[in-house]
Amino acid sequence: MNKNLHDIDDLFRTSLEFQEIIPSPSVRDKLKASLEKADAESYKKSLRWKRVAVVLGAILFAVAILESEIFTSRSGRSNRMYVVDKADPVATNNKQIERNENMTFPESNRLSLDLFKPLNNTFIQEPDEKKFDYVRESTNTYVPAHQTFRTEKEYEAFSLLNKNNSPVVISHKPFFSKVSGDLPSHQLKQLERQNKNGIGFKSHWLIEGVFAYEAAGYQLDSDLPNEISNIKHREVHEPSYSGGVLITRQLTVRWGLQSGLLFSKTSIGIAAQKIYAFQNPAGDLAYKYITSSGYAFIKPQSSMPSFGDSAVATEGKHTLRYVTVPITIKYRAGKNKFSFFPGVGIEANFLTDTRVETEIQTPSGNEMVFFNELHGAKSFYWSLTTDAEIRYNLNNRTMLSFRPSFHHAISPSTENNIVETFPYSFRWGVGLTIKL
Amino acid sequence: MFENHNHLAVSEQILIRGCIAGERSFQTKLYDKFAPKMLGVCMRYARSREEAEEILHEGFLRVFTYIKSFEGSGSFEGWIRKIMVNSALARYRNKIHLSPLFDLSSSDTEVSSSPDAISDLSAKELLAMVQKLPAAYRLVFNLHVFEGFKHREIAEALGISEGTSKSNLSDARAILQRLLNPKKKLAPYQ
Repeated sequence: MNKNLHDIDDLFRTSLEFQEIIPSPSVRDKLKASLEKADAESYKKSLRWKRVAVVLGAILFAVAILESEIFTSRSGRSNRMYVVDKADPVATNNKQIERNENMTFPESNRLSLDLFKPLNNTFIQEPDEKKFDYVRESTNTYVPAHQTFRTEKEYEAFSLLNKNNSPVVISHKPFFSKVSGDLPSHQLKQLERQNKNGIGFKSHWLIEGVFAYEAAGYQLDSDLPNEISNIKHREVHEPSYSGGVLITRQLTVRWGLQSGLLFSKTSIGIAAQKIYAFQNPAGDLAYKYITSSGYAFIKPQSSMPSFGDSAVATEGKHTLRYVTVPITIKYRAGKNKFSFFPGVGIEANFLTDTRVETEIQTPSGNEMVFFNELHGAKSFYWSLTTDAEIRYNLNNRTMLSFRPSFHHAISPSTENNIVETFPYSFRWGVGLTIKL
Repeated sequence: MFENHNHLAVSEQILIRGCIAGERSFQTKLYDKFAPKMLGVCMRYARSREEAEEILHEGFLRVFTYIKSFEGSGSFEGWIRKIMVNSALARYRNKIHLSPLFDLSSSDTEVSSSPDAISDLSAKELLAMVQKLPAAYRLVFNLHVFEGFKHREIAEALGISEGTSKSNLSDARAILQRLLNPKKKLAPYQ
């Protein structure tokens, strides 16, 4: 290699390698402002997660309160007891049942008056040892409050499991819906109603993993109808997705409360547009890029814009990521393989990330631009939701679900933007539910 | 974390610790200490002082964001310098595929060719020559001459082939030589 060329390397290296140049004071000020902004962003982000935690905590607290209310009301109802005479092992005749309202028993030893009283004259039958051999075997069985048995087999199984566990002996056979063939129809209906109301039902948790395809859109509001029209013409929603975990507390046979965490990603394509130079919050001149979700300032690296300058931004895309905390009241219809769970509720949506990418045409060529900050995008908005979930029971604990749902914002997702945006979406989700 | 930083000056350790804690006064001190040296680095990669100061700004933002990840295994100044170089590369990387255009006739940095005159050139004048190089040549020249990168490393860093790196370096040297000796004709850059 040419020696002169190495000399050139040395000449530049020795002269410039340790060169020090004092930066202008504006760099320090700008850096300070950027650091302040970064700190504020980081604080806002942590606040966002704290809000999510608070909302979830509040939901759990509400569920706990609600459940304790339901529990108290049930307990109150079962305070009136009938105690069966231990000495008479076949005292199934209702005439031999003593009423004692003052006695209290552990919950597991209670027999609800509700269970017996309305039916006691006709429903509990005289013992027939030939017909009901298990009556004698079951004399050491303790029947918890609200316990009913649909079949004799159920009762037998219960007897076997609960034998010799309690100091109080209940020596009668609890009624069976099966033996009610001789009952008057109004009493039969009463029994059915009791079963429907969940006598014997225990509240439980359900956890569900869901994934949904999303067709999103928005409703725009502004005093400038032209802007609404421009944005609507420019932007096209792309297929979006959401997924997460939902937890349901089944409070009664019919009613449940659902909450959880859903992560969603919405992408919106943006057609080419002319953008104009404005002063950004830092005091620099930059091109203002307006979207339905907010606006951003673009500073080309190749040339600094001047006041009044314009540039062409080619096709772009902006992506919004949200964490959503829903609280939904669910109603259960159907108890067979297929169950229908319509629900309605409210959602708190927390913006976690925005990304805008486009390309601008500058005199020195096209320049790709990416930025992660959209001014005017609110960090939080409320929405209403309704869904029509259908579950298929794979077994006693596992269910597959299909859940079409609709979500519509009730507060705008933007502020100080040229338009107010109310996002909405239709979601077609699938899920796997496990009963805990 | 800082127990491992024995080779670092105590003042540097305190500065780093303060910056990790997000203390603005420590960040200012760290900036004051390293900014002049780093602006010297950024100036060589940029076309103008304004661009260099923007690179410096972006670089220091990265320094304060990622200072927690400084492992203390090497020089702290070297770590900052690496971040500045990466910031500069990120800024110009997408431009290096554009075909470099360079018009020597419009150059106002030409100097006389006598050896004494060359040795008398100020750093400012030499810097102006480097800044006149097209981005593709400037990056390769800086990475090779000042950072000591091999062509394979330059190719990886810039996403170009080794051949392009060699060719760009050769062209950069030729241009600089022309700027130093304007009346002398050189074969590589005709």
